[in-house]
Amino acid sequence: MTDSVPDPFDPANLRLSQDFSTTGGVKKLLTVVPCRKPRRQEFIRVRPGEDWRLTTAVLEDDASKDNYLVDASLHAALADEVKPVCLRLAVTSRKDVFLWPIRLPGPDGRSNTWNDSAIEAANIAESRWIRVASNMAAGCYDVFEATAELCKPEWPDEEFRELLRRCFRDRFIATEDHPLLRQLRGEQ
Amino acid sequence: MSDPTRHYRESWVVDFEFGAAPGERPEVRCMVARELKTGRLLRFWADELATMAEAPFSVDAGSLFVAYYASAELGCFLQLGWPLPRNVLDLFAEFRVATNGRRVPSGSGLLGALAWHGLDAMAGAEKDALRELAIRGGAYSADERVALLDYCQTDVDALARLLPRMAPKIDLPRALLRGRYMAAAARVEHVGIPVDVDTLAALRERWDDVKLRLVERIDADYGVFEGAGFRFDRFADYLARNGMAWPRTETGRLATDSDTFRAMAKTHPAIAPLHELRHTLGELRLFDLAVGADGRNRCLLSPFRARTGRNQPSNSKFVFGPSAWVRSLIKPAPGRAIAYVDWSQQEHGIAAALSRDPAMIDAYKSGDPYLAFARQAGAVPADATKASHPRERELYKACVLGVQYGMGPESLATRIGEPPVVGRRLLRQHRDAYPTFWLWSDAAVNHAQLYGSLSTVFGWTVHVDGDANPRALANFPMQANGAEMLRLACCLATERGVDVCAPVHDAVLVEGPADSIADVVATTQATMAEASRVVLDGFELATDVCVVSWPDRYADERGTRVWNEIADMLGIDNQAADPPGDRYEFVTHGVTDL
Repeated sequence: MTDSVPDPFDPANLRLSQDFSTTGGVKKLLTVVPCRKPRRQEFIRVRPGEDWRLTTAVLEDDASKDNYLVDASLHAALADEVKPVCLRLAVTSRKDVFLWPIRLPGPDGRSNTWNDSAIEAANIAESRWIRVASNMAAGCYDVFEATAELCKPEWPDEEFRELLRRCFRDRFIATEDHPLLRQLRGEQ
Repeated sequence: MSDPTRHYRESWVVDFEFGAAPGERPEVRCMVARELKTGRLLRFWADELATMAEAPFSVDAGSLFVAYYASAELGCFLQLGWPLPRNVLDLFAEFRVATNGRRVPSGSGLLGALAWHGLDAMAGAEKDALRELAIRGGAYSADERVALLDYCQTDVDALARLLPRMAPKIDLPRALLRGRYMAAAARVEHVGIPVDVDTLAALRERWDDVKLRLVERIDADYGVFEGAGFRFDRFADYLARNGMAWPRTETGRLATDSDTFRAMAKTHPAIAPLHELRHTLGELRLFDLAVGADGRNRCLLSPFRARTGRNQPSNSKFVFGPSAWVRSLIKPAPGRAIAYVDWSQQEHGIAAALSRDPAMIDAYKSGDPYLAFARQAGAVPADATKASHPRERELYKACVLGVQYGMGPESLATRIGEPPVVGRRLLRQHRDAYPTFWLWSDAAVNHAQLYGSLSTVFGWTVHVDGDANPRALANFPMQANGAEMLRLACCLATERGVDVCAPVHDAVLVEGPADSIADVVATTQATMAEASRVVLDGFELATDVCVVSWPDRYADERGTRVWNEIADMLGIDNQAADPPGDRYEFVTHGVTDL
């Protein structure tokens, strides 16, 4: 033998890695973050901590049912139009990330069983996988907890501020001449 | 690695001409060998070769043996009683590695490889005529001998031209491991599988009558035949009577292809005899079963032919072809025993070990990954057993197997006879229970599509084009690394003196004297454990064993019903009619940590 060559009878030393994630892979980019309620058939978790929620107000477009984030400077002027909400970062068991707008009491401080049950559900979802379904008869959300041991929630790498930006980049009302407000005022 | 020969003192390109009747070992006609550095040429006719105790060239650790489809050449070595070469470089195996998954216009034979590399090849017609001459046998004139030796030499010279063209892409260390398997394959083909030739002869004599009577007997349970013809409407009625969901074709017709029947028989065992019957009537060619005068079934194992790198022997020539009842023809001779040794849930174990998913590893090590999955998904209590929750276990088993086959929710639902929502729920639960596995599996598919190929631990590669099926890619690491494991186990077992009759997907059939079969089994299990540890980086897969001693015969439970009917018709001694019991011994080898 004129040069050393690995021995075919020593296959343990011929083994190639099967860890495909280290050989260059693919990462799912979070390009869209919807603002929506949980669907009745999906299990969700809510990320605990003040860094992962925002108390604010949104304006719902009746036509599209899209939520628009309203700048705090306009809240007072639009008090009759906007809905005060707490936006909470949530993820489904399918790893879909969304912001859950949980309705808060209005200026009169009054709440209802729908809102209360939603707040309670979000608090439970901080530590357990749940799904949320409307109970029209009782006027509240029913909460169902997963009995199976689901995997740990996979949270996005982005900061909450960036998630907000991605969620509302085309639906942010910063001034009174926003097209949606002009439409509400009956302007062209 | 530009020149594989630079590592060696001598490098010999070798080719034999031989004839081999079905089921027989090769009859050597002649051999030509050329040393690549010196150009030294050796040409020998069979009578000269028969006088040699070993090859007329060096086969030690300092030498390289180069051939195309080396198991054939090494089969001639074994027939001549020569020690096998230590370093085998098989350009067929390397051509398959280089082109697996790609369209190869002229096939994977030597001519195809030459054409692929832009090299001139001998005219096909001339090659056919000379091949016929080699197969003919009998006495050869002096001119015929020269013609065959010249023909043999053209292949040797062609190989000598091919090697430098292929060399830049040859991963020599792993190529030598593949060559090592070609030696193991030659040993396996040399041993062959013991067959009950008397029963086979009786069966062949009455085959047409047997088929007609089989329809009468088996169809009594189904009512789907009219004469010897399968009736779709009657089959639809049978499914309706039994409340069985069945896959349909794109046109809405019931899918009755062999793959669908085989898959459905796994989850609906009641359908298995009907599948066996349909295959027996439609595809089985009993007269093609290759059995030699010594009562052994032998055919080319066709190593590396499948996309996964698995062997792909002829369905009709190999006794382990698709009709499971034919395996009941396997019977050890007096004083002998055979053992079927298979890895327990091999694909699941590979998935667990390579992905390093802790929950999946726990499930495998529990010994019952299906019930463990049901437990992990919260579908059964912690103390559930196969007996207490059979239905749940079957559902979760179908899901585990479905994931291995890359099954979608609709297909899974059909297989288990449940609505699609259940299929979706089960697959979702699998993703939830084994997130690390899914990350790894998705990464494998992404890797294949990004880089255009996917390889096993020892470099068996599938090349991926734009039309690649992601499900097939996801399944590749399990199937192809399973193939690597089996190849390594065959190497180890044959090199340690075990008579391996056949590799069978995730198992080997071995043989030995009845009074020492336990030793043969122990050696085989040790080699299979070692092979799993090497492939899976320390993770050891368990093995199960079924031993059959003369006068019993081998049995595959999927074919038991059909075989029992045949045995009854023929009035033959049928000692495999009972399910595995006291005549069979099941042993499970342990599992160890990573």
